[in-house]
Amino acid sequence: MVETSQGSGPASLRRVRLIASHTLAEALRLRLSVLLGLAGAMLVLMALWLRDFNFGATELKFIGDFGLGAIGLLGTLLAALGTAHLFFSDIGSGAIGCVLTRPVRRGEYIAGKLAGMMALLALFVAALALVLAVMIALREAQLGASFGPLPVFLQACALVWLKVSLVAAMTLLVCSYAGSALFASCAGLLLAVIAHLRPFTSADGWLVFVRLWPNLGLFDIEPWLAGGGLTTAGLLGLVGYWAVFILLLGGLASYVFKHREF
Amino acid sequence: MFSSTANSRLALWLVPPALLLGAVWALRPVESRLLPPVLLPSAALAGSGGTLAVLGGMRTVLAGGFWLRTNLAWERRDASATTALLHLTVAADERPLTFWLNGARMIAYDLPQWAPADAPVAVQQRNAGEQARTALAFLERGLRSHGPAAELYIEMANIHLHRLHDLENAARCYRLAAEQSGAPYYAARIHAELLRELGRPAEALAWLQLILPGLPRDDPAARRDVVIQRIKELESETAAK
Amino acid sequence: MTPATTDIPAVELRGFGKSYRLGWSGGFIPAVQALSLRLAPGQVLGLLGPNGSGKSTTLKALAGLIAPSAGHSLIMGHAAGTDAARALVGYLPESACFAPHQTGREYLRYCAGLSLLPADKAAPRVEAVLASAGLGSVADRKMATYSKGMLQRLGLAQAIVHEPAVVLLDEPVSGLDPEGRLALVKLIRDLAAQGRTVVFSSHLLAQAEEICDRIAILGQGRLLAEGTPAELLGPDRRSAAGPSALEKLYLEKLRG
Repeated sequence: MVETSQGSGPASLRRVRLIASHTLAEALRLRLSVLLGLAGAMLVLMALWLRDFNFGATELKFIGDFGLGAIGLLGTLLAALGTAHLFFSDIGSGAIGCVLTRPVRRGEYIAGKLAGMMALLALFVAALALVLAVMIALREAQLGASFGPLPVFLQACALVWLKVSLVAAMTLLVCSYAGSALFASCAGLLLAVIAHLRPFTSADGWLVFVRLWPNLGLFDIEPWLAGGGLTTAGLLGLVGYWAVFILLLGGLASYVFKHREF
Repeated sequence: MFSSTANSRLALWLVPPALLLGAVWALRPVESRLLPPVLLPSAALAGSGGTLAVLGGMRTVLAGGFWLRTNLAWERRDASATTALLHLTVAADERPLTFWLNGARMIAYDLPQWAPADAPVAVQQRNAGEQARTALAFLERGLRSHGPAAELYIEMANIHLHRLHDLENAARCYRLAAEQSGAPYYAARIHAELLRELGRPAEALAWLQLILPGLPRDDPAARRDVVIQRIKELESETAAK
Repeated sequence: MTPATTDIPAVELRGFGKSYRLGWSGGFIPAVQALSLRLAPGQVLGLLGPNGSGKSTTLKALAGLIAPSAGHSLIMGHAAGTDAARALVGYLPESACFAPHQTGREYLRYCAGLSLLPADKAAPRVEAVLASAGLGSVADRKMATYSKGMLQRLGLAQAIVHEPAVVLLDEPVSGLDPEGRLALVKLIRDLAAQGRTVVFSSHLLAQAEEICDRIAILGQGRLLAEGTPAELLGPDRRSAAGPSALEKLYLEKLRG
């Protein structure tokens, strides 16, 4: 009864899609996602009350910077904690046995999990970006000033998503080795912080030679916002860089996961 | 947890790190091209608040909070707390110039005033000198983090001039300030004046003659008339010698 | 899927052994040693033994979730865990807890999709297994509201939704009330009647004696006895009172 073309591309894509949508459905019901989403929306809105702490920028720039910072920070938390939770809840509940004993390859499972998390993060960033955009638009109307062109704002949101999806991929690689969700989420968060460290992210310095993670400093949105946005070539370059690491981290997670026993 | 022989178990722990290391090395040239503009002078940026970069734009609020606490400590005349909080402020967010400028002024001008009034004059002077040098080091750090800025050079020049009475370095800093884009016109005039006071009128004359063609005729702040007058005075002064 | 009628055994373990590593620097602890078994298509095998005897490890190896440390585990001649073997297997893990937010029907559709059942066949097949598992009336309820018995029956349903030739069930009747046990035993009998090969582990000797074509008793990772109930117990299988013949044999073998 089972189709014989289980290894073919379309069949493989169908399984990845199924696991991704199952993961997304599970992730959307996580209390963690809801809490971080609400906390993110509150933080974005709080930018209005935190203007008193701003000493160096115009109000709209401060709101934009702060809002995008909040989305990035909470997105990073969701990427690390959510990925580890979803991965280990499947193992803990035994549900993984029902999936991996079917004609589902380990790589397809990892790809599905990663795609599901990336979809969740895309929804998270898009929802909070919408809240931020509405708030900026309202303040623009009240102040009679302009925050900047919409494409630059959209670029900034895209960069946040690229960054947090890399955090999810790094966490997934850690998960493939780890024995507990607690360890994997802590390690994922630690990697997210280390990947921003200037000594590792700067072009010079010997520390760059021992780096095992992508340079998340490249996805810092503030310099680009201040500089009027990325060029098309710059954006494509960043997307290419992101794609290389997503494929590499996902591939390595699959390689390690293939040897894992349940 | 992993099914494998000893060899493949070893591969499991060696292959992924090796591949990641290789990928990072291979992509280094690409990374250099993709670095955001502020990160380009990267060697100078090492260390300052890197861990906070993960907060993104939220650093602004964190730094703002530290800055308010700095000012509270300043009101209490608590020198050590003021200095420590100043460093936390600029570590959280190194971008606003106001932190560097006002912080340096607190260190150079206010902290020495908080020393006991009955301390010997020599001790007070030594303390003032030390604080001035601390403020200069603070501004140097600001220059490394922020990049060259006329305001920072002018603040350094003022400290050299008013706190250390070091005309030579004050003149040097005013010149550096004048050479930055968007610098106030007075920096160039003060540089010339300090050279004159240092007994180098020929240098002062050459400098003013150099900047005069660049001064706009329609901007009163450029004070072309004052510069022309100074040039005349310096010409007669040097001719008399 | 109609069981194959060739000489290839549906399930075969050849000198199968599995050891687990004790930490980074420690040695290995054997879970199963030198286990050899052959099961013809359409037979039902009961793996009996106390906790830690290696029943779950054996089933996981056949399902492809763990790799043998020694020997081979084969499904219809294919090494367990390969694509070909996994396409032939249905597996119910011990105490599985499925996605609680999904309904039983949604979960079975997900499983059918993963097993690549064609869309036109998946829906009727899901309805059929829901009916056979007695879950038709609760198919649209969230799994969080299911009783233990319902979840076990759903677990069995997901293991057979793609009509596998070999069904592996890890403690399928544990934690069930008598009614639930009877329902699951009936489901296993139905599977056997359809010609599927079933391997299950259990502590419940009475049911094993009743439904198994072959019985294997494991203890401390070793095969202590194996054969048909008739071979193992002889013609006098039931006594009027006291422990059954299988219970006697089980205790005898475990005591060595």
